[in-house]
Amino acid sequence: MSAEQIRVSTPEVPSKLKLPQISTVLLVLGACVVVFPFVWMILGSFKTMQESSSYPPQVFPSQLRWENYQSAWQAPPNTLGRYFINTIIVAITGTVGQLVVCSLAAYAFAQLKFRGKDALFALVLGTMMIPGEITLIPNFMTIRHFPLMGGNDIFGSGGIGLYDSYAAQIIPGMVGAFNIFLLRQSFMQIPKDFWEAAQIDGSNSFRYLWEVVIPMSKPIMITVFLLGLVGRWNALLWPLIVTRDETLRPVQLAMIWYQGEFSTDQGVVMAASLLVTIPIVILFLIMQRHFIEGIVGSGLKG
Amino acid sequence: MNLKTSRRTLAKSAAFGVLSTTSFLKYAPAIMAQDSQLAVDYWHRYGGSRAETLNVLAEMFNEIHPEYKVSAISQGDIAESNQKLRAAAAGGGLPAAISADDYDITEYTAAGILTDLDPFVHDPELGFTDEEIAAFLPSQFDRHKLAIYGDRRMAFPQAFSAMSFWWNEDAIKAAGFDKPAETWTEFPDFLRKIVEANPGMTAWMEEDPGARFMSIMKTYGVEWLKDDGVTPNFDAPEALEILTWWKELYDEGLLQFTQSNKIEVFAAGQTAIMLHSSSAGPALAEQVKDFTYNGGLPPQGENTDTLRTETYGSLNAVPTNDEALTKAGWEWVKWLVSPEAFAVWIPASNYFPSRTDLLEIPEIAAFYDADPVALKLLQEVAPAATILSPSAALTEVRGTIVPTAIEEVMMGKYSPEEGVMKMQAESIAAVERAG
Repeated sequence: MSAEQIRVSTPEVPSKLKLPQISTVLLVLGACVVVFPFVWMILGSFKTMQESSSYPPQVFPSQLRWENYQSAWQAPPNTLGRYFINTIIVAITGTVGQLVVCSLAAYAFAQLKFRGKDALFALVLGTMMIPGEITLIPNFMTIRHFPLMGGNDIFGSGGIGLYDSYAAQIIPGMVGAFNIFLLRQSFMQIPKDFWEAAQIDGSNSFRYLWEVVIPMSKPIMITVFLLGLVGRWNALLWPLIVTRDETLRPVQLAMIWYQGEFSTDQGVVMAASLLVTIPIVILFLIMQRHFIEGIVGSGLKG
Repeated sequence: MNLKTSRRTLAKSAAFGVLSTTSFLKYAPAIMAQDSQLAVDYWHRYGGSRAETLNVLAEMFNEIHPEYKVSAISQGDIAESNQKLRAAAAGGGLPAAISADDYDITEYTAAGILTDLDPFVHDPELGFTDEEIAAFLPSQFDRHKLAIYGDRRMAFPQAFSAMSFWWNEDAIKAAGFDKPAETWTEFPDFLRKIVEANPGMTAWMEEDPGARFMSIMKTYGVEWLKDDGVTPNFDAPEALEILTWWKELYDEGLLQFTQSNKIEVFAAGQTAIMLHSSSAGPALAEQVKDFTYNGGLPPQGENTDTLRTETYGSLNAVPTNDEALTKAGWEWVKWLVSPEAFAVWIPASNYFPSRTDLLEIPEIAAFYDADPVALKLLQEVAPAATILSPSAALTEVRGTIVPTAIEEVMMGKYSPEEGVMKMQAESIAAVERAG
């Protein structure tokens, strides 16, 4: 049977018409899988402790227990609000700092010519291969022995350095090889003609970076910003390692205050989790168009 | 690229970086107690109400000892607090006192970061009186005064819990029993009859087969290490006996391994019995609605002369620090076993007190009056509780080697005989690796 005969014998189900439908079904299924934990979290945030731990699981709460949100807010010392403020300070300052530092480094690797540039860039990329667990203790020692801070002398002894401060939570994450790589790839796509034109206008590298390169790289800048912000928002181990004072700890560490040894009020935990998650979800929804442009432009795939 | 322009750019960038960093660093605060006070950090792994209670205890202590400012600081779960302590051990800033689990104490001792408490215990000014020492349960007071530490005392508990046997009274009555099985020999038939009388009920679910297998060995009167403290004991006949009846129960569907929270499953009436911590009582009281439950000592081996179960719960220890901080750490952990501290901690934690002379304290008496099962556990289970043989290899043996062998036996890859041989061979290697 020839291909033409097949097309003629099955004209009512042309494959071109079926594909979008299959894609839609698959996308809806995928979306359901992704959305399910959020829906479960929202429903769970209104349940009583008994409803949360019922077996088999009870999907819907018998009534909306808004008290869970009140309990979630009030459970940690100084309320959950204190932890939110800390997270906002750390996440925004750290991410902006990261953009500044990484943009400068990426610009150097993308636009400047200097001896050993490729080797240095390979070295920077090589740091991506080192697991975070390995750098944890060296980073902690750097923070603890930071000279002239927290009672330390010039050699980093005698005090606590930057331990138990916002700075300790922010500084070690300000340089990231992956972000430098992303930004460099984007900066390299800008035609050299722009730099030559900028030079004719009397522009130097810094002005060119600020007025030409960064505005032209807005999607990738937003992508780096969002990735950095989400990473800092969700940070748990590093802030735990470098803080002792509850008034400096970020929101993920507030979750400690909802855990019992054997019985945890999951309704309150879900309410707290929802409160912690909402800001970052809203931010993503606002910026998702730029984020996707940035990811597509960088050539990254999920 | 113009070289001068590049240099200018780099110089400006560097200047910008330095300026922004230094201006930010001004806001880095230091840890400061008041000048007249010594800051005493106590790191623990509790959350929720227990963490709040420790804050209350710290405030009580600070009122009595104005020269100190104790801060009880929650450091996440066991793994997170462990990482925090290791970072502090490497980079400086060990706290004055810590709360840690048995195997952590063994590892911290091996790492040389804990202080021997014996000189403090027997110090005429700072230590305990003979009367106070006599009031402690010896198995708890000496829980970490061990030969592997050169007979040093590296920690002792404020309070503790122990592996207990919880059962659904209604389910066992329906099967014609007025009390649960008292020996492991009776246990399999006990479960069979319960399930026969209660259709749809699963007899027994376990979350952590490695830990449970080794706990049951203890209740048979067999430790996982032989008397020399270094040779694994999985070649003992009792280990094979346990694995054999586990396999039978598993094949009959009476024993299941689960990732679910077994308290929730038990509280929902889905399982008839549960081996769990004695301090699970409040969780059960909150969650069990439709049946009566009870608790007691787990079944024992047929020929055991001493009642046994495994001790759980964290201990207090004092890391190595300067003299003043070490002394402060000791004073804090010593105060935590005072009657006034126990009066707050026992009702809040549902742990057993490590002292036996506290039942007349009004708060503690009221707590046990209100919870007869807790009192029964205190009388039956607490005196029988001891730790598993300490070893730096315990985490690997209990967490990886034993559960893997059990899984392979249950899946039919190995016979029970081969399973215990595998446990033995791999545990010998693990103990050797751990030194």
